[in-house]
Amino acid sequence: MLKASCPQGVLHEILQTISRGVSGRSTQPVQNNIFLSSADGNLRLVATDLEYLSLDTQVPAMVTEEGAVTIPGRVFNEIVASLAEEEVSLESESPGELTIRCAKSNYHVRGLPSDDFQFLPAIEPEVEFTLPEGDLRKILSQTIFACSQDETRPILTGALFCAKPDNLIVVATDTYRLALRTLSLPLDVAEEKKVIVSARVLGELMRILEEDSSDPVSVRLSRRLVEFEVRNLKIASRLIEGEFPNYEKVIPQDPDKKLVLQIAPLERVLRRAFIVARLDSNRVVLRGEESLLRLSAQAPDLGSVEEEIEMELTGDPIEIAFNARYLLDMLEVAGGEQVALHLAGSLNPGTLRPLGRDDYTYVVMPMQIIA
Amino acid sequence: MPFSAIVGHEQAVAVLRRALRGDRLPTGYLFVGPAHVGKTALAIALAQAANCERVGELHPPTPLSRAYGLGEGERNTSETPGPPTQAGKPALPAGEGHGASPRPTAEACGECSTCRRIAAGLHPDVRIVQPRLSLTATKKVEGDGEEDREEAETLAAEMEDARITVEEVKDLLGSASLAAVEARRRVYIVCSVETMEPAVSNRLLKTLEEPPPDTTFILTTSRPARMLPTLISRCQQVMLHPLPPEEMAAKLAAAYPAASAEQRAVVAGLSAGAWGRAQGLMEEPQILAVRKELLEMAASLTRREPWEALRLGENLAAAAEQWWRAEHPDEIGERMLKAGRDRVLRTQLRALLEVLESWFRDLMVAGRGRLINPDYREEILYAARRYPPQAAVEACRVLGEFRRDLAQNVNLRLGLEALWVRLMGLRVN
Repeated sequence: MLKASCPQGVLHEILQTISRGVSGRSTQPVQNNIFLSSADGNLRLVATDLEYLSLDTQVPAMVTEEGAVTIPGRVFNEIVASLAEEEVSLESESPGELTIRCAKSNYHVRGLPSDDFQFLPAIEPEVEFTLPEGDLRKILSQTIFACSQDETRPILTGALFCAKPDNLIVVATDTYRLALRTLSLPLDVAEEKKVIVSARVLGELMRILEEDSSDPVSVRLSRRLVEFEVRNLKIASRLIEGEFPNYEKVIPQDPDKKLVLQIAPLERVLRRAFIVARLDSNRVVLRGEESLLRLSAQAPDLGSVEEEIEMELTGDPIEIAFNARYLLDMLEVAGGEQVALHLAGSLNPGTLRPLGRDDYTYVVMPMQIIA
Repeated sequence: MPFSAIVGHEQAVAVLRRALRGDRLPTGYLFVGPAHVGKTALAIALAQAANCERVGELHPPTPLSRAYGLGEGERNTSETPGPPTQAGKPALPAGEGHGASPRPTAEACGECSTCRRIAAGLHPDVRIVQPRLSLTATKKVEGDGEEDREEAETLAAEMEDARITVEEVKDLLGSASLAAVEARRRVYIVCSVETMEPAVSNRLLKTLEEPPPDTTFILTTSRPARMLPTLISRCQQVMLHPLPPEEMAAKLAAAYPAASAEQRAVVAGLSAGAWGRAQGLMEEPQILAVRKELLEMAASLTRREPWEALRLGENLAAAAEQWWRAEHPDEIGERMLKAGRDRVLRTQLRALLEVLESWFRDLMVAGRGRLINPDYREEILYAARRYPPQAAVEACRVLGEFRRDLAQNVNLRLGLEALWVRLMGLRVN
């Protein structure tokens, strides 16, 4: 029977992460638990809903007796969070029960036998590569916000990962906008491999990844599963099945107008316009010629707003309406100082790119101009 | 449960076996048959046969075997149900789990881990959705522990107002959109599919029209007329017929050799050919006692005065309660009774009305045909003099009307009294 101990701080920190893998609404009660076992002198913790998320990690601990147990995830997290900052001892006397001791606290928690706990199968990777943690975080932050929330089209609720010998492409779209990010780095893959990864697991991954770190993250892809491994934590998910839309066709090939804008002022202007625009489907109308761009929005019951901002325009005067939220989503994560907006007609999609870079492309559909 | 353990339904099993052997399982099956006839059991058997780990050992794959891969646009989405078109694609690359798929054969072992997990509802790729009460109602019967809730929800499947909720269907379809964890063929079973709201049905329909690969949805219903026709048209229908009386008697004799012949005859009549119900009756003799009480009540109608309807109404309600307790002898059954007695009785009364209907049906054929209640032959012949066939037909109609009234929130007490008064009124002198 499991007998181990570990400092409260360590256990607390890891539970904050792991407990997010507990769905809490699984039809199988044991999957609402955290699996806890000894493993090579460490303490292993696993939580999975067997669908979108599996979190599997090990923390250094004093293991005095080997064993395993499962206990309700949320309660376990809550208990450990509230304990004193001292050594926590975990003891399972009989299957499916755990005694948690710390300082003068003494919890006795009923769980379920560990034999019933199911894991996602171990991945047999067809493709495996590593990339720096910070880079992966950046890529995800620049794409996954564009994933669809609409569950009736499951394919779009995930992002496409396309691993090629010399770069990685991540694409997300909800049919109103599309975010495409390319990272050039030699991946040790023989041929192109495309998978669709659920936005849920990517969202969790993003929370875990650190911005300024260059620790390696291993990415493993198989036909059915994806697994990311970073700093001793394995985060896995089942892939979404189906054919991702042909995103290359969506990107406008010959826009004849180009606006160059300062990101920070544009963001401010859009935010102000948004106060009105949100009452009319977030619609903001952009009109401009030469060096002045005018933004306007109006709401029938509230009133209207007009803003002006400087720009550099190449091509004919423009008139087009966009969803302000969609523009802001991209500007917030674009990075850099300036952004280029490429346009064709007022009913053609616009393309946003950080100025001078071609590794991040954001296509957004226009809205109809009303008044 | 292997197919060989399924009682009856030889024809349906043969159809499923053929589909399995030919590797031609359709995207949607609709199992149609009366309650407790064995629809879910058969669906589980199919899921096991399609995924059993020992299939390869028992029946080595033949050179003809191939993975069942349907390409986009190659599916049969026309209005007429039928087997999906075959796309003779090469086997897909091996993934986790079983590796190169052996060709599914027609029988499961029932013992391997996959078979056991499917039967226990623990397999990640084989899921069963059953109607449940709305959450507020479930809460009332909820205990302190998770387990209580689970069980209470299983009971809920039998309640008349239990529904398949949109959340559950969403959850199911979300799971279906992901790659399989380990199954060769994923099977999603939706029981009593007619209890879904049209909006929920449409969600399911959309997935059936553009199905994920290697997936079979099995819908079961006892009332196909209440389903959306579009949903029916996307499924291959498999009819599950009640067992004929002779067969039921034979199967009961084989399964319960220790029971008395009379008990078996009574159960065979009462089960209306549904094996699941027959099993319940054999294992819960309390229910037979309630039936006896009911038949006595019906038999006494020949000599009752109208004012006695009051007491008979109460007796009927008490009998319903007793029947419920017999079927749900645990604490949860008791709690549901306490939390929603009216609701429980309304559901339970349906079974009681069936017994009363069987009585009047017997009066119709008294002395001319096979009786459902052969142990009451004498009483039936006697009562038939006061209830000639015409009156017995009318009595069945009255019972049918009351059944409808129950669903439409008739005052239970008044309804029960009126029922007896009306049944007495049908007597002739």
